Order: sequence, then structure tokens, then C-alpha cells
Amino acid sequence: MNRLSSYKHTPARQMVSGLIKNSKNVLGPIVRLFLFTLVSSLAIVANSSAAEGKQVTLTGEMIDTWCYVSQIMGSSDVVVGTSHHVCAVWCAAGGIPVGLLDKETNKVYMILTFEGDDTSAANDKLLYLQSHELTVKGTAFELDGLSYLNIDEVVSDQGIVNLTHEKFGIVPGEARP
Amino acid sequence: MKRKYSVKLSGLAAVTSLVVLAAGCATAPGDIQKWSVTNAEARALTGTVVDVQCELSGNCPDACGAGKRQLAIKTEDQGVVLAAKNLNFYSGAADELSPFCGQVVEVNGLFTENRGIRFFQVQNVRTPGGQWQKGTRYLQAWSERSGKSPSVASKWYNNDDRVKDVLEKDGRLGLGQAADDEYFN
Repeated sequence: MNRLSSYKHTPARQMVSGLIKNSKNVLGPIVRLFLFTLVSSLAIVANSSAAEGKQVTLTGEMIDTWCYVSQIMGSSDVVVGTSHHVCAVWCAAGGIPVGLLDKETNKVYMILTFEGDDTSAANDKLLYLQSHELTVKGTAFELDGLSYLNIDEVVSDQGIVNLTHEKFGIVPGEARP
Repeated sequence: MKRKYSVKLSGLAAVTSLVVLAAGCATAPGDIQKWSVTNAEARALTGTVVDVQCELSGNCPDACGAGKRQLAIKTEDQGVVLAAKNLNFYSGAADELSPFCGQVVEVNGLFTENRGIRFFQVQNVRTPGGQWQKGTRYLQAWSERSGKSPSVASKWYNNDDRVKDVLEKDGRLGLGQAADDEYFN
């Protein structure tokens, strides 16, 4: 989230506008400019402690982010879907970030909260949703190059639709029975 | 053809696991292991251990969630770097870093940036100038949380009741037991 753009809608911004408006008749332009700069700077600093999110509706697969990014067990096409389901459950149970791979943009969102539960490492509920394709509503955040997602609501659960085992088998091999 | 490719991939995964295991046995405290991670770069970071959710929303539980939150290293030059992995198999870094919540630490390990995502694998952690602690605390934490013997912790993923429940319910393919029976038998 661009902090400057989010600042446009904050109470601080409204306060700045109000001050400028009320000062028109009593202060000169230079003083008004100084006041605007000062209060705007303070408002930006105040807003920098917490990012503002963006409401989103996304559809995508719940994935094991470590194997997807590291490719330690094969290409990113292999470590999704049925071929990697067991490993995805292991990694979610072990506290590796679970991600939502957005179908439209291929962007990965790290899931931080799920329907009000703010356990983001080894959340039991997410174990049962690994590899599923979900449509969710929530709040997305950007922080230092990563995208994060608070899922407010699962709109629909399509189950597991990415049948990668048909092409790639089971990865890793120790996930076989 | 499909079976041949599958066997080849399984073999590759097994070899990878062996290489990682072998590397894990041969390192001194503070050394960085080489894992076959795409775009991996051995790196050390100094910064404050932070809870990502706390950084984003101001929702900040004690001890950074005590293992239940995704944690990161907040550095001066690289911002908030998510610590996604530790040195054990299939486990994250929350248990490695939560004892250091809010403290400045030195960590080393593998940094990778791929598909627009940047991750850090915490291999060792210490307070500045202190003794290195290997990023394997997860096994002890799992044993304490699950009530299971430390002797089965190295393969915690095969002994975890939560995992067993999911796999019994949904099968190894996630498509139900009937699909598993047809595929694996």
C-alpha cells in the first residue's frame, strides 16, 4: 500500500484541509504553505506506524510458499496442486507462511489472518484448505516488497482443482504412503 | 511416460533431501548451510525481531505471538524481511525468533528472491556478540506443544496429530480416500 495514497483518506488529511480552509481569511499565503507542509509531514509520520490495506476479492490456490519460491523440490508448477498436497499440509502445520496464489495476476499473498483468527503461523484451519481453490474477500497490504492478506470471508471453496499428480506424480517422494 | 517422469522427480527430491541432510551434519555453529534454493544467497542480517501483523495493523500480542505469528527482521537498509523458514524440514521460523521478540538480533542463512517474493531462511540467530543458536528450536517447541517424545520430533510431520487428521480425512492427494486408493494401489 502506498502510504501517501492511503493518507488521502485519513482523518489527518481532513484535519489539514480544515486548518487550511479556516486560515484563509487570517493568514497570508506563505504562512498557510508552511502550515500545510508542517501538518502534512506530521500526518505522514503518524501514518507510517501501520499500513492501510485495500479491500480485495481474490480467487486462487492456497499454496506452500516456501517450496513455491525456493523451488527446492522442483519448479513452481510442480509444487502446487495434488502432487504437492501432503507437503503443503506439512509446511502449513510447521508454520511456513501459507499463501494465496492469485489466479488472475499470479501474485502470492501471505495470509496473516483467517476469518477473524489472527494465528498466522500453523493455523489449524488453513491445514484443511491447503491446495484448495478459494474465492475470498479480505484486506491486502504491501510491505517492503511483499503482499499480505487478511482473509475476512471465504466466499466459495472449489476444493482441489489443480490435478498436478497426473503429470508430475507426488513431490517429494516421501509424501507417498 | 508419466510414471517415468514421476519416478525421476521422486529421485530428484530424495537426492535433494540427502544433500541437505549431509550438509546439516557437517556445519559448525554459525556456519551457513547450502541448500539447493533458487537464487539463494548466503546473507547475514542485523535488525529487530517483529511480528508482521503487528507492523501492519498494530495488533501486537505478547512475545510476538509466542510461535503463532509470522515474524520478520526489521532492518535499516532492507526494511521488513519475512523469515519464512528455519533449518528443520517443513517448518517455519516463528519458534526460532519469538524468544527474541522486540530485540535486535543477528541472523544468518539464505536469502532468496523469486517470482516477486523475497524470503529469508533463518539458519542461525544470536543477540549481537552472543553465542549462535541453530535454527532448529522448532523440534523442541513441537515436542512441547504436542506432548510427544523428542525422539520422534525429527520426523515430526509424520507424527503430528493435526497432519494425520487432515490426511485421513482428505487423503494424500486431497481428493478423498477413494482417489488415493485408485492412484497409490
